Amino acid sequence: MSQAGGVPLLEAVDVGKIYRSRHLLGRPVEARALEGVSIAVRPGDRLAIVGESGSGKSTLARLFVALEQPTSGQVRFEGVPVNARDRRGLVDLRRAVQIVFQDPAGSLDPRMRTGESIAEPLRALRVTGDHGARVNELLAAVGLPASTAKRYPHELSGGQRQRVAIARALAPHPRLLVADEAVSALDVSVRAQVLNVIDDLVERYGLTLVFISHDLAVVRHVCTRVAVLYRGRLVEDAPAQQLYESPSHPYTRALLQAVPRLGRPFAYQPAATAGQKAW
Amino acid sequence: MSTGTALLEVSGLCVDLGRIPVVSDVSFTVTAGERVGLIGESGSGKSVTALAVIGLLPEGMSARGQVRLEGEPLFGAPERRMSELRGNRVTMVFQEPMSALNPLMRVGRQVAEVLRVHRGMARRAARARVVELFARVGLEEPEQQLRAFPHQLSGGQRQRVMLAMAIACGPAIVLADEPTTALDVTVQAQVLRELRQLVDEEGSSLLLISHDLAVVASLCERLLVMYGGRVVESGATSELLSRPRHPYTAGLVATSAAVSPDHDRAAGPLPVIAGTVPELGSFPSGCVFRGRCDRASEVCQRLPDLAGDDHQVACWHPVNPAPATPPRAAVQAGGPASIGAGSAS
Repeated sequence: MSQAGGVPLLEAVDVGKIYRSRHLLGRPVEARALEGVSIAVRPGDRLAIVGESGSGKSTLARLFVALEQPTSGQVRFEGVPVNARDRRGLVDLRRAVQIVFQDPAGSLDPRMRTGESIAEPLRALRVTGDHGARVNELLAAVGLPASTAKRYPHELSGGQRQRVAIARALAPHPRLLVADEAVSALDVSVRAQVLNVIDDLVERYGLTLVFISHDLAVVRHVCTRVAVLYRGRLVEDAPAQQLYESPSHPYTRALLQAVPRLGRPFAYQPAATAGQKAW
Repeated sequence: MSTGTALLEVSGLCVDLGRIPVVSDVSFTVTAGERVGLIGESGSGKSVTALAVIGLLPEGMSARGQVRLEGEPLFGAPERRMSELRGNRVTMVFQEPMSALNPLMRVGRQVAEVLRVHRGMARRAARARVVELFARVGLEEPEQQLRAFPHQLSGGQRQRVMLAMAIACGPAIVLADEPTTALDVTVQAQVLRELRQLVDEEGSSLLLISHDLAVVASLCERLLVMYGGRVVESGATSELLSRPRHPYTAGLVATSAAVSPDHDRAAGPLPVIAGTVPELGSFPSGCVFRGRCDRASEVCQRLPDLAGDDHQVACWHPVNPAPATPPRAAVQAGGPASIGAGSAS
């Protein structure tokens, strides 16, 4: 579905993920989070993975950064299966692929000054060079003053914390950035700032981006290709403009229609014309 | 302000958390059958305003000013009277139904309880009425759903149960605080549709509170914009979208118009509002927005009045001049993107 040519940087091949747990009464319960998903992220892609709750989008993000292993199928990093990797390989992957989560308060250590937080992955991944200089460079890149390095997370606003989380993710010079609902928790007036920062950094550092979101409105600004997941399956994967202007899957159409728009009074029909379950 | 008699009248509402002002001098009215949107970000005081109206302020917060519902003053009313009105004449829908519903009681009984308490209905009659209500809010197989516990329902179904409870007694006004924020976008569209239909059918007024301008604008005839605990602008929805006067509203309209599935990334960087929302208690004196405003001058150290008739604004340097001609009608999405700082090139 994606453009031909070149080895994908990251690739999911017929990936399935089943979460097994036990019911209160001991009965085993299976939750199928992903089923038969194949998607390739090529160098320079700005790929959005869009879906609602239960679509499996966050599971896919976790498989991409090897925080979890698929139940079936393979995730490949530069053609090499991730599950077969040794520790050394995992370090390579972690250096090349970094992730930013929704809630920066949860991903930054509250007892660590911002500067230490940003430098931590450099130490952990044994990146050489002047860590202090790198921290300053990163803070500037995400639009924060150098003095931020001395502050603790609780002294920062939500938007500032998310900028710090982005700086930390970029510290080990990754080639691919995975953003999992990275702007969803932010205030409206701050969300656009952080979107601009992400867009700018991807451009400046030539990053490949996988942007995971429930929000088709936000995605359009940072991505050039959109994949839509529905109940664990990939239902559409198309260049952004094509997907927004002529979505081919009925679910994509429903998703697009459901986004509230400014200046468009709410069209409500008294009967059940919502077209639910049309797909 | 608006035509028609005031159904809900809030005047000079101030809410403090200890010594920190959370809501400052908020006044507005909602007329019978009117749908009013209250928009604001975190720390704007929008939720606290609603909680003060319904008399459910959290511990440690105290309110001054006055709230009248159908002419009756609510501040100073005995708690017994408030209990009669709550869930009956004035109802509230919260963002997270899971915490508003009793997890140990079947949802049918919870809604029936409202009818038994406020309407004195017998068990059987109340049950029959709940089945009707469940059908009206779009719950499939309402008979079966009666017996469900909250955890057995999806988020959308739970919020529909909350809607059923909110309209059970035909309230004068429904206060809905971020009722769809926790829902998926397709479910959000359905629940908003149902909310709109229900208040229409009941003839109830609606105060819809949200951080999402597109959501409130799609449902409400009039908007109140809150920032830093104050109403900074209010007016008809179409007027506010096409001619925002407060720089904050203008920025909000621009950024909301640009973050849209209809707005291509080729248009360049998104218009932004500079800076961040200050912590509670750290808003500047005078104009609450002046720390983030590129139009701020010395005069902004003094508090601007919320001035105007139908379209009110609290700003020393408003963006658009006051209209000399009658205001334009609805605005196209993307139109207001040219207003405000750092617009697309």
